[in-house]
Amino acid sequence: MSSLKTRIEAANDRAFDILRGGKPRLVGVAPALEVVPGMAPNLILHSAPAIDWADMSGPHRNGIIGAALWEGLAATPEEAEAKLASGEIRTAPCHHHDTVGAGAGITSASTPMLIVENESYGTRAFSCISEGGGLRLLKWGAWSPEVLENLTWQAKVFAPILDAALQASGPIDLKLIISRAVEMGDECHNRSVAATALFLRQIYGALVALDMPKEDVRASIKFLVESEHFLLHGIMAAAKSMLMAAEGIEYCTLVTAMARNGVNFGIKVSGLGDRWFTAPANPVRGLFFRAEWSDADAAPDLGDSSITETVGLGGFIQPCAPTVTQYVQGSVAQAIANTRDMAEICHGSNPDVRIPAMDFAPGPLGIDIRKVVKTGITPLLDTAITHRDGGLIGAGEVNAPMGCFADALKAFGEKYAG
Amino acid sequence: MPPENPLLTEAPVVINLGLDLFAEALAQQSVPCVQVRWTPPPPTDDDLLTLLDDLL
Repeated sequence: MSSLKTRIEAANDRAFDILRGGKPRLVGVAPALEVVPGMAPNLILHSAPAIDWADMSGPHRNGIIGAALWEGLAATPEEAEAKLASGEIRTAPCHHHDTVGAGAGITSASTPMLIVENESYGTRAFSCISEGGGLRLLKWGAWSPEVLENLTWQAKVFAPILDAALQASGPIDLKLIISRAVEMGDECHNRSVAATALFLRQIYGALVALDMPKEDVRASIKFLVESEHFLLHGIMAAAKSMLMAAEGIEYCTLVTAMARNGVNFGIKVSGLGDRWFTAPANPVRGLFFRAEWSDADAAPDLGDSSITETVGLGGFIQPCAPTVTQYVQGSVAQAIANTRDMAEICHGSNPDVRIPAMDFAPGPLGIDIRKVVKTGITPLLDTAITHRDGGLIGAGEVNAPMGCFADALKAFGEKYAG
Repeated sequence: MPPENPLLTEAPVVINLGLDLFAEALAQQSVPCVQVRWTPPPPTDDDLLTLLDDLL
């Protein structure tokens, strides 16, 4: 083996061990302005990769306008648009601030953030609190007085209560929750019901013992119980904290981020620094929640939640969640075939994520851009379908485009193979 | 007289390669069909293939 190949294999082994050894724990909740690096009162974050205000998709534009109104940065949508166009209100990808956001990923200074620490490597990542269930939420690029009212309740009432409960309970081990949830019907992207139930089981005792206004505590527990995918955002931050520890390893060809902004799909590669490699986002194939919706209504692939696939969850372990396959009229056999495809493009497998329907085989982990280009197989993502003007309209799956992997490989060759 | 074509006299045995659409259309008509997952091989980029020889 050439010295270059040897160096790549050693770097990839190191990154893989870092991913495997990550121990993300949910440690607290706080407003973005207090904890997110580089956050500012006039800054609104969105799902990556980077994109100018003028080029953003409908869900991003609507979500950012809603956040500007909520923060009091503008009194009307028109004023918000003018300030966004002039740069008085700034935008940036969540990923550039150690944050990941589902859907449009809208995160502003007052947004309550889940704080996740990777105990093994000291990295810290963030994700906004789930707004609960519903088709019209800020994260889907939809806002209304009710949506903004809910955000205010979350920031002023729910977040302090959840943080107090977490401080009382101590850090919650998300790695352990993920390991158990994938054996309970979750793939931890389109389905996180089991993970959320396991989280509730751990936090409930601390919640009911809080010395805080009873009505507020009751309302918070009710919200958590009704938000069956609440922990997805915590899992996303966990994935980000694990991947941050594997960034910047020279000669490493493993992917450290995948994200979509409704226009482009972007990836980052450990050995290639902070650069995004992008290609047009693909349309999502799946199930629309109402007969009135169709492909013509859908925005292209959107959101930072593909950070879950980047650590081998979601579309990489579809057989863990047979119910999710129904979104694409699929089958468990098809899901198993999909996981086998993903194994072909990964560096190894993860014994902490077992797939019951495959005789408890470990899930594939560590996407290698070399293998993607060689096989022609691109990562498969489970994902939501967003309306082109905002709002959740369905769920399904989508493959990453090949172009960003080919471009990354060329850049890798230029940097390392000269 | 040539023998009868069995495709015209017997139920066809169908194997569909690639696009699901054709298999789904047959399934809707209760015609048994084996679907084989297949996608065309990725486009050949000589520069990338040469690079892959160095890297993988």
